[in-house]
Amino acid sequence: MDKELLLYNYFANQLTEDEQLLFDELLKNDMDFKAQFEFEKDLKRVIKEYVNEDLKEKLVGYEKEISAKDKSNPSKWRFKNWSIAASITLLIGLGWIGFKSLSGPDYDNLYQDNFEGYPNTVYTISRGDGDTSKERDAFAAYEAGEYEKAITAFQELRSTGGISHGDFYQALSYLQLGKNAQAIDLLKNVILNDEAFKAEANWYMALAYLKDSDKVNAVATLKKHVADFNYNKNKAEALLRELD
Amino acid sequence: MKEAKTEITLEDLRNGSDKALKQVYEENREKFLNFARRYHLSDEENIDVYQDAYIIFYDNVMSGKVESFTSSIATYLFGVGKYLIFDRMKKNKKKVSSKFDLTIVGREDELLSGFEMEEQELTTEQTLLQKHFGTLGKQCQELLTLFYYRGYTIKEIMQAENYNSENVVKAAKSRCMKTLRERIQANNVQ
Repeated sequence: MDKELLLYNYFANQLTEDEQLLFDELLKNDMDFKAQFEFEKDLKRVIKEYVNEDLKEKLVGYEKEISAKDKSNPSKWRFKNWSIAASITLLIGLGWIGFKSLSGPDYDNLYQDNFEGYPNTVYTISRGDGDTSKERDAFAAYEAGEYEKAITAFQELRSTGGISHGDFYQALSYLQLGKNAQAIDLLKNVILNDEAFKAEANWYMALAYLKDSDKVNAVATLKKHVADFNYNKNKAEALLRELD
Repeated sequence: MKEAKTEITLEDLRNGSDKALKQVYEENREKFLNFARRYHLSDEENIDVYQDAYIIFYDNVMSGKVESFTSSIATYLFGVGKYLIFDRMKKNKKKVSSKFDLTIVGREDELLSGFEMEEQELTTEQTLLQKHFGTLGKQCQELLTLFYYRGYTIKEIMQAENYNSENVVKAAKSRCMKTLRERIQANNVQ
């Protein structure tokens, strides 16, 4: 068989079983063939490097665009802060007695600016995997944003012995639905029993208190967060300053 | 707040669309950084890891290692990202809890089993080859990239690049390889 065709089929991933045998044989005994193979293999590696360098440049460019955007548009939070401050100044100017009701922290905005759903990092959903377990159902619903369904599935799993990290994801599902009290109960469990998600659970619990305008518990939880964890520590410190 | 669903298909990425490349990068960036923060690397390192994970994911899409998305793109990125983060933590001599390590990574093994992760540094010969590959004409670079990086067949290259026949593609490829060899040899003689 034509050696060139053999190499072509190799790099096009089209070697038949017989061709593979011949290919291995030539690689062992034919030095010219081996040299040609090594050359093409090196070329493949080099082209990948070439493409990757180009790609990395593009990604660095995207990052620059993102940080430029952040700088040119003051963050939503700062803008909101500024608007609130401006409104208050105006209201004071107008001598409106009721301005006092606007001067406290805007818990809802603080929550919105800091809450971000936590991705499923625990269970891999493979569409063709034939796995029909309840655990799969729970995480698939969570990934799809079907939080009611996810809660039901996590709840059922708990009644049959529970799964790793189930409480954390059920709590996050509650938070997505604004059911903060239920979320807080579960997050307390996570902090006690699930070492891997302890820091995350504490962070989301602080946010849940914030959403409930429960300043005392929000501040206490955030202080504990800053003292004990590194996860989102800067954000926790910033929130504490806002709540001061 | 809610995780946006991407409508980018595997084909969009495989066709080399810059728009798809950027959209997938932006859509998954915050999610990835939010997840990566738990490992206590700096924000700068997390962005670097995200980019490296993204490149590995892209390479595997382009080389046909991913034949269809059996999971969300984010799941692939998290899987590769975790691998890179643990690797980086080991290099930084940071402690990685073995229990935590296995819980999180184990399940994704299958999804990423065919993935090519990080490559070795280029050898001296490869560095020389890289230098001369960069001096080839645009058409040669394109043709060789389609064949060796994107796994196109000669027929697919003919269709994609409007060559008249497969033989013309084969001849062009041979010429490009010959030029490359000659330049390397000339370099060695100097």
